[in-house]
Amino acid sequence: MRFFFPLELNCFLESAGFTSIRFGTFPEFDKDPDETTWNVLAVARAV
Amino acid sequence: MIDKIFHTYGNDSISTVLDLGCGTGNHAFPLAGRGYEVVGVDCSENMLTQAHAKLTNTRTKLKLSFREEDIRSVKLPGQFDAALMMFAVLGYQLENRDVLATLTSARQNLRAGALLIFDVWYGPAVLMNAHRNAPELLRLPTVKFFDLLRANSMSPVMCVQFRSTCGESQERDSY
Repeated sequence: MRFFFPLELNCFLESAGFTSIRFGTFPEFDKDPDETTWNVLAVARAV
Repeated sequence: MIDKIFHTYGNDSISTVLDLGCGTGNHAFPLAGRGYEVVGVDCSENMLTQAHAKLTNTRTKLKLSFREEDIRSVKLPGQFDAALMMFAVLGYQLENRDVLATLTSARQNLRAGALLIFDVWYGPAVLMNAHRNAPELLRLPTVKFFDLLRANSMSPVMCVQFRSTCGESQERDSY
């Protein structure tokens, strides 16, 4: 299993033709992730 | 939650959904039940057999189908309004080329403006618990170790917290 950092996710997303909209905690998506957040939900939009 | 995100960011224009790495359909069925037209894709024949069995036993008529395909290369007819990769599907793509192939494949199946929603394990939290979960990180020389944290968007505060969590760096320096 692999984990991701915001910078690398943004890099992958942009390379694939997406723009990142938001990273929120999972399942409480309205919260911003921090160092205690194991699962992040990402929302991106196809460019 | 996904339905709420569709409405928040999708401008109420989402009707077709591609569920990549759908498994037995734990997300596909509820979404189809809400009226979305859903196609689930998975490479596991066993998972899809279970998904098809659930579909056969569903009394409600759903716009739901499943395909056995590799999510790194799947290309379906038409373009979807949204794609999902839930339960850390992306995290199973261990190589960078597989991550990029998966995201590129998702993009090719989506119209411009469509949404992609996925969950992953979050690196900063994983590293903060590295003393338990990734002990090999502690064997890095201190400078490389903190370079790694900073390069991955760990704030100075988080770096200090991490150092505190892991204890003094003597052990790392000895390698």
